[in-house]
Amino acid sequence: MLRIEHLTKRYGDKEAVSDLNLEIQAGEVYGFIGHNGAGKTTTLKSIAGIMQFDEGEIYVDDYSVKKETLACKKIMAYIPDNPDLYEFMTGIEYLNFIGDIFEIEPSERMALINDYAEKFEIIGDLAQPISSYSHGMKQKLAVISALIHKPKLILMDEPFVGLDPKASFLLKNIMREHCDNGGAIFFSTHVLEVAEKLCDKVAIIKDGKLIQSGTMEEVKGNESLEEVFLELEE
Amino acid sequence: MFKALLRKQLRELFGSFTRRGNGKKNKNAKVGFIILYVICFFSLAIAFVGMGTMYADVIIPSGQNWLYYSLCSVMAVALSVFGSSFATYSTLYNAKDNELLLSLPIPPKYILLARSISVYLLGLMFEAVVFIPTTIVYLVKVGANALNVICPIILMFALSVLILCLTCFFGWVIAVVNRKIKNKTVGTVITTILLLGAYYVFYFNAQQVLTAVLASAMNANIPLHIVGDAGIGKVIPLIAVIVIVAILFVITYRILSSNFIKIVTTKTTTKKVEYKKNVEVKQNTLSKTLLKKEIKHLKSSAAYLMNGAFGVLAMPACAIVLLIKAKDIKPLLELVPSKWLAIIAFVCVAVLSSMNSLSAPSISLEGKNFWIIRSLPVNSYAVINSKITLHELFTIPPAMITGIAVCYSLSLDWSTSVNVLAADFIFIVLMAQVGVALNLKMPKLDWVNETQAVKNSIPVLITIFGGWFAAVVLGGIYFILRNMIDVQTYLVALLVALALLTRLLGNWLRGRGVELFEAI
Repeated sequence: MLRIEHLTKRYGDKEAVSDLNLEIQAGEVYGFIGHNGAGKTTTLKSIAGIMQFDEGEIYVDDYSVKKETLACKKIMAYIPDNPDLYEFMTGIEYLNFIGDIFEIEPSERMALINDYAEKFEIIGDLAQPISSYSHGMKQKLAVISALIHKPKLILMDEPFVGLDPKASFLLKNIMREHCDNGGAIFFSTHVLEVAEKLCDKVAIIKDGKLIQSGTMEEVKGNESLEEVFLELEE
Repeated sequence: MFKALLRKQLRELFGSFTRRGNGKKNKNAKVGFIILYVICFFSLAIAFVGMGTMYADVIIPSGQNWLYYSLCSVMAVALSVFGSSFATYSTLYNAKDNELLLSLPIPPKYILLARSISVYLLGLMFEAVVFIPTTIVYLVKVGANALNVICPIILMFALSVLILCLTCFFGWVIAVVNRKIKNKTVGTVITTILLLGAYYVFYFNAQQVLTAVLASAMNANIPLHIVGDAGIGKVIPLIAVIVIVAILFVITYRILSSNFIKIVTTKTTTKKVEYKKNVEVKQNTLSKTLLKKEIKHLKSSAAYLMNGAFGVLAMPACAIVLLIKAKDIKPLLELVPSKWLAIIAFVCVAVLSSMNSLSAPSISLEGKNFWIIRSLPVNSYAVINSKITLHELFTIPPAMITGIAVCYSLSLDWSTSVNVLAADFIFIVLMAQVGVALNLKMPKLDWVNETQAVKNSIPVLITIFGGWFAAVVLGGIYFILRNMIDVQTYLVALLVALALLTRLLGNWLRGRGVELFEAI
């Protein structure tokens, strides 16, 4: 589903991501953890096609992010850590904007929007301008906008920040369901307990370099993920 | 504490000119901005040198030298208030970091004062464009001495504080009005238009004002007399002006400080719009979807509307005035060779259309939302094209209406009129592309308020002034060649040349433009 080969991204003289290699199969919830500034967001943005990278290649379902960008974006969704959405739109206008871009058939689109909005309990706010939304509501809207076009790969940058417990629980279930249906999710998080329970595999990045990756059992063994992470970060 | 706040504000203001879109400082951009400002300054200063000379030739021989500075001060204040009022509301009350700053142990009055510096510097820039050339004209006419050099400089700075008071007050009025109404964009636009209307009423009645001023020329008590005396080098009137302005500043500052927090932090409660689940939705094409998004953004932003789409109002207004005054200008037209009229028509419409700068800030205006369009399966050129189309959609129709009015007023025959309109049409298309091309070269996504993207922006400055300059140059070329080429041939050649440039720039946008967009 996702194959990252020798990904390197530099900001001036600093290598934010250095020779990263990673592979995610369909059906996997893949966690990505690391300290602040480790290179998680840079990696996710490079996969999403938002940020150009200096070396390496990334393949999404065998489409090259560099050469077949649009084909990759059609089957991907990206949810940033800070959901800066179009504040001049209402929630439903934004979702219809996404629906038009992905050419989702109107009746199917509305069914999905209403379904997800009911589940996330923001259906009553969809007609309100996004400028009036709280951070959590914007996060929910961003998640819904990612789900309605049924992407194969979902990239999430700290998706649980700002979500209330009910929404977090719902999101975890949606993530699991998405992968059980053949999709894949690659997400970064600082909430290691969630990663431990939810993820099939995990990768730990430090100063731009991948220092550990594999199944949850392989990575943490008999320790907790937090203990493993803190040891590796030293 | 105040110094730190001030440093931040100045960095915000000047950083918009000197930082690249990736946040890195660009030393060349600093120099470029200074050069650009100097060019713009000299271009506008020429007009005010002319105005100053005209006043000086009438006033100085009459011995009422004070009147010269009174008139120039009125002009400087009017232009400056007009030029900086649009930005004041956004700068003072709509900055994205207002809440962050209010959460820090900073007295709100310091935040207001620091933000006012941006407004002050903008006003001073506009004022200087009038004041400096007119002062130079005066000194050339009467000769310079220590007092009549130093006093007008001090007067300029004192008046800049008056301008600050006026623009801050207007911004406060808009903020207070907007707290009461649901649609803030409409509120800002309408209030600003009313202010504009008042300005134009004053400006067009200036003749009557001037006559009244001249009639009471012997009355030493009128305020304008004091300002005029301060300008010609009298110390006591200068001190009086400084004291009066200082008092006005304190009063204005007190009024604004009294409810700054309330205005900035209180959200207007509006009636919740009910969401209807079963509304029929139509699938839009990609180009329509992207264009609708651009239009929605424009309609939601008073700063974008008033600064970027000013020509939408100004052009039809000019057309109406021209049609009304058509009979009055006929005697003037008889003095101009008829073959020049078509070129004058082309230049007028091109200059007016250049008042719109919708494409020039459009990339920067993506701001923190840029990730959305970059993460979607959308061809980058389609995004760029939507911004060009926005500019064309809001500029071409009013420009064509104005063009028709101009051609009718100048009594141009139909074939000449068609050529004029066609040349202006292509000119607008080219300028739409120029705007977005410049913004691709110099994007700024990290603005704190939208005014920084739509007003304090090199692409916008170049597009507006460049458009004016290009229009005048294209007209000027005909005047040089007028004995070698007839006007119809020139217009057709102009049309072809502009079309070719448009095609070349379009190709550049599809290639290099897309690369720049994807590298932002």
